[in-house]
Amino acid sequence: MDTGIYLNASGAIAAEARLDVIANNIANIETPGFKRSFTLQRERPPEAFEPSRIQDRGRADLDPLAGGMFIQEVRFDTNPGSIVETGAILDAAIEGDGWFGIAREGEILYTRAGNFARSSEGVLTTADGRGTVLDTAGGTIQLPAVGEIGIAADGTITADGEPIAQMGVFGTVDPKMFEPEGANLYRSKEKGPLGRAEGFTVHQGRLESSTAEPVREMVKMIHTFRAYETNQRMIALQDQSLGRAVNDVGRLA
Amino acid sequence: MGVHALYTAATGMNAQMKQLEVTANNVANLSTQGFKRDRVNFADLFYRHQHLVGAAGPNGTTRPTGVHFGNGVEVVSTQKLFEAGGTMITDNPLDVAISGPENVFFKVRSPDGTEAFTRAGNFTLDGEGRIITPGGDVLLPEITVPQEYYSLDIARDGKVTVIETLGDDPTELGQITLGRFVNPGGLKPIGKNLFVATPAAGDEQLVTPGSAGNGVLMQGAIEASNVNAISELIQMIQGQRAYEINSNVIETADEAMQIANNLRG
Repeated sequence: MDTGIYLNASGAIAAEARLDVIANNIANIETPGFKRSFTLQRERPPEAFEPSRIQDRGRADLDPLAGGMFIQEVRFDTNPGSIVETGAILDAAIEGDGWFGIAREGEILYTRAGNFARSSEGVLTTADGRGTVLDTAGGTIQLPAVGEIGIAADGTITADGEPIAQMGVFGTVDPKMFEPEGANLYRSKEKGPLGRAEGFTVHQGRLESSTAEPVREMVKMIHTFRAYETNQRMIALQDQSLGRAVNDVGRLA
Repeated sequence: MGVHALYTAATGMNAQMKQLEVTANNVANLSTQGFKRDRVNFADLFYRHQHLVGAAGPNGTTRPTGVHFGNGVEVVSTQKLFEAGGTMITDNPLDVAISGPENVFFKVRSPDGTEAFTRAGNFTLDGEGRIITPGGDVLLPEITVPQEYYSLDIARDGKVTVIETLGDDPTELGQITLGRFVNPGGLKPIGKNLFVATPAAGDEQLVTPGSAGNGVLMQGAIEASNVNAISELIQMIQGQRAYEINSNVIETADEAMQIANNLRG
């Protein structure tokens, strides 16, 4: 009976972690190219499935008890966000699969946030100016000083209609191997650089919006909060029963 | 911890407040000649990685996915968007609009000597006859218009000429040149419809209107603000709702901590 308190504590701790993930989704509800994260909980195996412990402790009474739960994974949802019109010339949104490649401090990172800017040297960069946008060959993209910039569906950048570079759009076999880095960037854990993506369309003057949705996040938040509350109630309840057992049972007169 | 969610939601509220400030300024300048709207660029903050993807897991496996917690959102930049505003025909001879690329500007000198750039071509004259902005900044290169004239003409290529009395040949007064920047987003707005150059904007190039790729001047017209009232309104609604939902997270996290505090009532 005393183990129940720990099981409910694991439930409450996991609910707190879920609340953290939901809070981050909500904070980024207007962040372009943001991918919402979600948690996957797992039941901790019952003690009976961990034979070494049974030998160590020989607690047969624990065998039928499962060991609470924990957060096994925090994944992010790679589904595309909706595409909104912004009218900014250097904004680009990818329809379909694929990621823009960004070189930052010697590393290659990936993003779906196409709110790009131009550096003082005319190089195409991320909005914060810290990363440069990669072309198909992995080099930087130099925009000319003169000419109206156009971005074609295959990522080709034109100045007054003359092609000058092509934005790299890279694909990943397994988006689960991506890890969020912050600054709208994702790091790939796959070996080697990613290959070219297929079947995408790049739209100029548009941005992909965040995939965090207010309604879904609110419902999850209410649900999580109640799960937290229930676990805490259970802890209080078990504390009371324990108090009974300790103080009242066996009291003489 | 519930405490993290508190701070995460606070970054969301902060960011949305900045969004609202920028929207307010855009809307306030809905009819400011030559005004360029601002946009807030959001990005997610760094993550706390509890377990990294691909790290060694139990039993010699590698973790197929990780456990990460984000820390919220930040405003990475406010970006001026320079796309041209609409052109208003005014028929005032001293109103000039630039028709052409978004990165060329009239160059002016403020009374304190600062050189600045503007797209607002609603010029007027000072007591000496020089062409100035309504704020008193002198158009460069300086052009002095005679006290009395029959008509003033500003050509597409920037040549300013007057006809002093009807029947005279036109006299050339000067040539308007424009400042051009590789990255207009790197210009610093200083108010009064003016921008000053910064290293981020790249080197200033002086160009003549009418030359290839540098646009032309249109006399009797003014470039309007490029703020679109409807998009700003939508932005405002979204910003307000996003602010609200973040405050909901704070409330929830607070209640969760309250429950934990009262556990042993």
